[in-house]
Amino acid sequence: MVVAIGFEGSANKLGVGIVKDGVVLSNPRHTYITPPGQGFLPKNTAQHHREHALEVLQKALDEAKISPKDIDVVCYTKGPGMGAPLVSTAIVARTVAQLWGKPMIAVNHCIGHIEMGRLVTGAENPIVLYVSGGNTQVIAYSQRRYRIFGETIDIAVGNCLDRFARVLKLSNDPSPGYNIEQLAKKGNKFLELPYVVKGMDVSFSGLLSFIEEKAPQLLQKGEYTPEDLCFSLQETVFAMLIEITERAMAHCGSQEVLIVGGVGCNKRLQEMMETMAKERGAKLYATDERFCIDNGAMIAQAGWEMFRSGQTTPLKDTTCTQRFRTDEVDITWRS
Amino acid sequence: MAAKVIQCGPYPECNMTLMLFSNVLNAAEVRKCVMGGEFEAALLKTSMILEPFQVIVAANRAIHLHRIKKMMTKNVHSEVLFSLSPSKNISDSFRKFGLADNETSMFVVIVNDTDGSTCQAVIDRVKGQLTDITDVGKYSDLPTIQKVYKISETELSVCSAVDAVVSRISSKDIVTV
Amino acid sequence: MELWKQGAEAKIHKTDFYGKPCIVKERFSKSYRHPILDKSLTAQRVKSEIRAMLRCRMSGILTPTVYFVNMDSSCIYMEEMLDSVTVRDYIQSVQSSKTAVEAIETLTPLANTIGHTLGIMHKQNIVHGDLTTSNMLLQGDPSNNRLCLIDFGLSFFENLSEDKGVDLYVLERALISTHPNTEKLFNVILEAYCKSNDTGSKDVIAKLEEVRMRGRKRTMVG
Repeated sequence: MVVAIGFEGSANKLGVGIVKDGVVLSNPRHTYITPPGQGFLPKNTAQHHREHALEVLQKALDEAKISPKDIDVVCYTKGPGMGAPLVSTAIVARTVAQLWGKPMIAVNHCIGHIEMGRLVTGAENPIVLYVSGGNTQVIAYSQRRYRIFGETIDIAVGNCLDRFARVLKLSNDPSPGYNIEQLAKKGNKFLELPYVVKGMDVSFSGLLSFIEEKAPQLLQKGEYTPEDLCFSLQETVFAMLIEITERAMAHCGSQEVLIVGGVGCNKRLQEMMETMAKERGAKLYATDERFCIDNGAMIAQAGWEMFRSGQTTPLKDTTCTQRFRTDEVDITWRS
Repeated sequence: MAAKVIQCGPYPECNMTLMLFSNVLNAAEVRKCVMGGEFEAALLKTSMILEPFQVIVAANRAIHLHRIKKMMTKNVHSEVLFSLSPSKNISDSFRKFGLADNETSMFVVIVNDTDGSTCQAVIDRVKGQLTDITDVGKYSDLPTIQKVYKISETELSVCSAVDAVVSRISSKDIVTV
Repeated sequence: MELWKQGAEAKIHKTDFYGKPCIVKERFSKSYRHPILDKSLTAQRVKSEIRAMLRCRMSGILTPTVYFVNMDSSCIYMEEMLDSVTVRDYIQSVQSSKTAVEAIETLTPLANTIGHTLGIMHKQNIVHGDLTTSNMLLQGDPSNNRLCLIDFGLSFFENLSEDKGVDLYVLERALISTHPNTEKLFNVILEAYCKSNDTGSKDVIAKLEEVRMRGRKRTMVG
């Protein structure tokens, strides 16, 4: 029996989760929400994490009904992510590990998403679409690595959606992407936007500058409503994502697809993926906002896998890095 | 020697009849018959044809456009002639690929001659010898064909002249060379 | 028509086109896409494919001969490349039957041909858009390196070094993710590319480097 605690703080969510042999005992989270039209800055985000770290940790322990002595390993997000928030969270993890006298494990954030997705959905060996504010990747496992088959060559899909939400001055509560999704449900007039797929890679920057530039005009003239624009944006960027995912599935001969990451809880994205998967005779695995969005349990789960395969991270190596590619990690726990 | 009737690949209910005449004495008269509406046929200049396949690809395109009602010219036979040409200019295409009055050989295409009556009418009218269509290569004027279709030696290093020609005919709506 | 392969966006049928062995590539609509987007993408890709195949041939790059295009059903009828294997299968067969060093040695002339061909293509401002080892065929005895490019659906015309750099980046990623230990071959490809795309290759390689760094150095937030 192994009990792992995970600390996540690579972006604007601070999460602490406790996992015991594949069962999530607790997974509280606190999100730093900025005013409409504004993104989150590293300094303020780090401060948010510092302010709420102890309260979220206490909540995790209380909900799990566990005391520190029952914990076997302390896991934290090493990267990728924003420097200051990563460090502020890692400090908490290092402190409790030393206080409690527990070993530590440094976890790649993306691997956390993938392992959590596999745990929650039971997907065996899926093609993974990892979509969030900072990442857009199509991943497949092969020979002890999560290999990146396709990715964005510029900005992440979540970033594209968030930045358009800022143009429309949408609320960041609970998240800009969620509010775009709600508006998009009411849109129906489709605006053709630049659609850029290159092999298994995608690009969103051209599309974003196009819509950023055109939106004010189109709205002012009353040709399109904000709802129509959200709808068109979602339809276009999601179609691009489904297309590259399908290519990867065809390329690898895979019959399973898993969506992870914050954008992964978008119902329209899931619906489109489901349609594609069905047509191929494949199965879609998706999770809800508890596990799609950054959380502590995913770090605990990936750390749990690493710990069971014999890894620990010496204290001197429990650093953070803003750049940490998914395919750098040796996947010791899968065959 | 007989006319060759070929079923249309994409539209099996359609067909094309291909004929080659050599030693023709009355090209002008036959042309008048087509222009006067005595029979409907496409009369092609043999020097612009490398192989019957080139004509088949053009006729196939014409039948398709006829079926989907997107022809550029007035009937399927003029469309065969137009299809053969890489140019989008109709009169220029007719001049370059259509039979001229002074010629002594001609290639004839008839689309959907179900009972063979048009074919018979052409045979009755032409003063010349019905010849195997594959002999059309004897009349080909390769330098002119290369010039009209803009085929370079570079291209011919990877494909045959007929492949080069056929690609242009089939891509005509999409690519202008 | 006999269904031969079904890809992600097209069905490939085998048939006979007036006596010639023929492949029919039928792009089908994707029901997950908005109908307007679907129609526009499908038409655009049929056209791009036709255009690039012809332009490549005119520059001396082997591509299948196009026999017939039906825009209404999004079908392209083209020459079946007889007696050919994909570069993907060929690399795999060489890698599985030889030692790593021997395999690289055997595949070097092919890498040269690929680089040379792509150099010519880019010099003509044709960007393939989906360069993978599955989209390249070797006709006849593979050791003759008679290379045929296919699958131009994502292609476009552009003289920007950025687009050409991304084109090479896509190939690099496809090559290395599909065939482990082929980094050396990619370098051979680049060297040959620089020789045949003599005027523009410097900028393209600089862009390739930039695109690679974007991938590796991107700050990847949550």
